[in-house]
Amino acid sequence: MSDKEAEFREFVGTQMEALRGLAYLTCGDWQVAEDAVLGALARLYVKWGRVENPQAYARSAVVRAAIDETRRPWWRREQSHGDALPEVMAPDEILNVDDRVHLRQALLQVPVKHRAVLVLRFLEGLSVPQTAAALRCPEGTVKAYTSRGLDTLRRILGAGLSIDERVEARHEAV
Amino acid sequence: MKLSDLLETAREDAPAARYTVDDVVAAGRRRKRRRNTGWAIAALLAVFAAIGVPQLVARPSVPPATPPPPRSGSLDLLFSGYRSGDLRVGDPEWVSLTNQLASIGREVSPGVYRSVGRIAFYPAGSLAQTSWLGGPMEPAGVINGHAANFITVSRNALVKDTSLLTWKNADGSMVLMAAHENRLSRAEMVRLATAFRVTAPRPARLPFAISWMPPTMRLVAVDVSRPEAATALVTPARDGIGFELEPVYEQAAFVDAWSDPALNSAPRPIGLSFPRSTPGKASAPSGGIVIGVQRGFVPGTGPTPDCAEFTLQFHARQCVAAPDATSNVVARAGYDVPVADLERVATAARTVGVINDPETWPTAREALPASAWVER
Repeated sequence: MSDKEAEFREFVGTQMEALRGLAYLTCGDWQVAEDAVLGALARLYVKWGRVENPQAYARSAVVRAAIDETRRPWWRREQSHGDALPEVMAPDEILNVDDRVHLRQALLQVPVKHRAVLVLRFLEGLSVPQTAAALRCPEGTVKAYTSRGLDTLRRILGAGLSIDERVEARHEAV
Repeated sequence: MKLSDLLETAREDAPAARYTVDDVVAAGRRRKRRRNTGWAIAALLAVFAAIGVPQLVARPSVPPATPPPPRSGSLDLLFSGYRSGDLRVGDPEWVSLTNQLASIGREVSPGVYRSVGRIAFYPAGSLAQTSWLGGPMEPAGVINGHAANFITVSRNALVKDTSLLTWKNADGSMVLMAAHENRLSRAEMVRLATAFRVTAPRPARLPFAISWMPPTMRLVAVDVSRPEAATALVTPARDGIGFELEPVYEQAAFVDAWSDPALNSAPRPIGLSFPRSTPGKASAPSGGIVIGVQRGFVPGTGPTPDCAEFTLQFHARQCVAAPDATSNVVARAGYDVPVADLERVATAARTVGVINDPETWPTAREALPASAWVER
């Protein structure tokens, strides 16, 4: 095994879970998210050693791949079990599970691109320019999507939703 | 409730991953392999596009041994005279819809030739009907990439000892060479045949023009060798019209003196004739008209045609007229052609152009009314 491949394996080992979660939040399906991660990391393997910031590249590639997965025409899309057995919110003694299901359903109501912007900005902590670069779209689009995505979430989750001041402050500094 | 916390919560409780690091690495390797293969194919295609395509575009389809002539008119001359040692092959003298003939002479003293044979050229698609091709054959080797054969001709009252050599050219045309009385050796025949080339078509020209022709008649052959005495043959239109000039019979002398035809071709199936006769004595093909125009005044003739039976041929008559004081016209046919038509043809013919300058003569297509032209 070459040094490069060893580095790549180490990178995948440490980043795959985070990337899987990122993809899931973007596309709303674990299996689709895994496929997106696999495809994105396979592309990164080919370019490994030539990519300046592998983490940023992987994040951007995974989010775009997850968005693309949701755009596939139905005849090219694998039908996941999640589609066949949709998660239905049900009372549960464990409050966290209830919250998670509720939140996931709320997120799924946000358009996929808006959702990707929210995930990159408020989960990954990217600035507007960084998010724009990752999604290859204008900064104005990122701002608009952020605003609309937050509006949608607030409408579903209630006015109590706030954004992370620390993250916001970091964004402002960039 | 902070959004970042909510997002963190949403991605918790993930199911077990289906893919391991090994799966990711294997997928990466497959992708790399596909990409490298793609680049190799793209490079090959680029090389092909840069080198192969221009060569394919520039390359002629099949390089023939003898370049085929461009599309020609139905009475174009399709080969040119040439010399080989003391032998000379002339330009085509008679040109018909089916074949064209040239004489072969041997130079016996400077500028003086003796007739030794004849070449008959059959363009691609022409069907030779001459019976001589049915004689016994002997292989004569390969001429210009195609098998050649000698043919033995049986001696009879009209043909003395004669050798024939036949071969095909790359364009599908066929040549029949006759050596009269074996005055050409077989080696000389092969030498002449090897030097033969199909050339670019050039229109046959006639030193006269005819302003009227029965609308049913078609021009099937012309004599283009003698400026002072030229001939045209017309026959009734029919499907697949053709006219094969007899390739074997010899005229008595070369170039400027010619024998009378020994046989009246009129009763024979159309397509065979004895072309080498003076215009006034040419045989009339069945149902057709022979038109001869001579430079020279014949006493007793005038602009009004004089029509009478032509006793030297079986069942034939002719009209003779003198359109001016320097020429005379003969129109001859069997009795199956109305005499009124012969009269009108004889009246309609006149000499055109400068006698010794063929470039001033009309082409065969121009010399007769358009209705007489056969398009091939």
